[in-house]
Amino acid sequence: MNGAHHGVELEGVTRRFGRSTAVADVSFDVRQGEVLGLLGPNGAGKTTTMRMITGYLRPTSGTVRVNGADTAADPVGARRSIGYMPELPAAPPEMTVRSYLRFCARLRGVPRARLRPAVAGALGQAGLHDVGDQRIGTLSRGFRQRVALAQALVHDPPVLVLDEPTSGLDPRQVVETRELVTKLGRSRTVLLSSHLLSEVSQLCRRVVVLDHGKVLAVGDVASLSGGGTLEEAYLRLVRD
Amino acid sequence: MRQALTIAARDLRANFLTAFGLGSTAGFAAAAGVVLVVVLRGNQARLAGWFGTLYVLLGVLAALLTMRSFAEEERLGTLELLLTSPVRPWQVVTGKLLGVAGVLLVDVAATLACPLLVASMGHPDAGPILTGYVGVILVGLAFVAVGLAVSAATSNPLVAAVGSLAVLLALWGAGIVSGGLTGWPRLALEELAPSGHVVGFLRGTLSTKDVVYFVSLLALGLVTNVVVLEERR
Repeated sequence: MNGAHHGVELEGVTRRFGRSTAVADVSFDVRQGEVLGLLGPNGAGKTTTMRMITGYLRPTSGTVRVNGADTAADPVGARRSIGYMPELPAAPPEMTVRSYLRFCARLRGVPRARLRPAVAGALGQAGLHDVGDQRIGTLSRGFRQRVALAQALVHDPPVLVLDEPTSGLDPRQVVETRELVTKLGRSRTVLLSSHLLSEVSQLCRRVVVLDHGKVLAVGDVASLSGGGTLEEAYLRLVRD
Repeated sequence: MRQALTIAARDLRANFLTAFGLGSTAGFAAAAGVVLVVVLRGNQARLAGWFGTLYVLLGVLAALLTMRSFAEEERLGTLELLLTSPVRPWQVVTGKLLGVAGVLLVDVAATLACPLLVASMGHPDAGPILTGYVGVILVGLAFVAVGLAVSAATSNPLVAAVGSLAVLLALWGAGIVSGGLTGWPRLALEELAPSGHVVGFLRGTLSTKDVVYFVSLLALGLVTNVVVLEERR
């Protein structure tokens, strides 16, 4: 390990499903305190990459380190640092928002005395105070998306992995979520995936462009765009 | 252990918040009652036939309850959050087992009305009732462990339930097949099948061999469950 790295590091990470390779030899790092965008068309390997960081999937080869912990050698230690919002906002429909967040907090080791403020904090940050006692199954898609965000924040993790956090939201919710991500990015390491170029260029200073499971480019939004727009640069990369 | 208990408490509560959970409890109690009526037609205060059928019903109940533990969670997408939480696989498996075990205890407690009813009408032997219930717990937990392992291997709850039933039926069927064999194959299949190991409970005897059998089946189910969870990553 090269010094005190508290972000996320991927080194030569490959994942195969049977004969097909979803992610091939991917290396990049998310530095402490930055919002990094993972950009790529559908099927580029963004979700698979995120799932290997969060420990839902194991890399076929290569290493992933989260907050200094190797996900293969110390999976629980690595997962402790992560708040994860999966692509599909899934939560048990029969539970209330509050009881679900409480469950998530306990599961992630929040001490008993801290449970109440932790849940209240997550409800507040995700704008869920008014629906705390409602069953998740009765909420709209937008609110369920916020529940997914709240559960990622409830244990106050240093690293956030957000898979398409604004998909399925209405324009106002998109703006609110982006503001929240920007705020969260000031004190945390955030990896965010998106297929929306405007979103990435707005929220992130650095981006990783993935296509067909491979890294096409890593760098500052400004230098990648090279004077033009990120869109032009992106299309150039994906086409080549 | 705290994490395991957290998972167990959530699952237990969820079961009694859903129509499916309440329905399965009511269904199990009703089936136990119907079986009692049939058994009591013999006009004897003996419950061996009732317990014998209850063990088979436990297989169905275990298959239905465990299909939600992993397969339904995967279908909903909530398994991903569970498995990406800082929880060890054995904690997840223990929590899932305890959750279903809690439901099972409630369901079994509901059947206590049956022996009490029989006791009010006649004088049944207390011994076989006691060992019968020890059997219910052992058989129930072992079958649940088998069901959990199958449930972890699929994302389709229906496949999980049918798969668990198939495995349990195959185990049970080994006892039936053994009747047509001789020598060591017969002995081996007899030992493999749960049917041979519940006879003692029905008679009122508690042998180490039978207890070891069900505890082993329980342990095998749980270990398989952990392996399946790790292999799918």
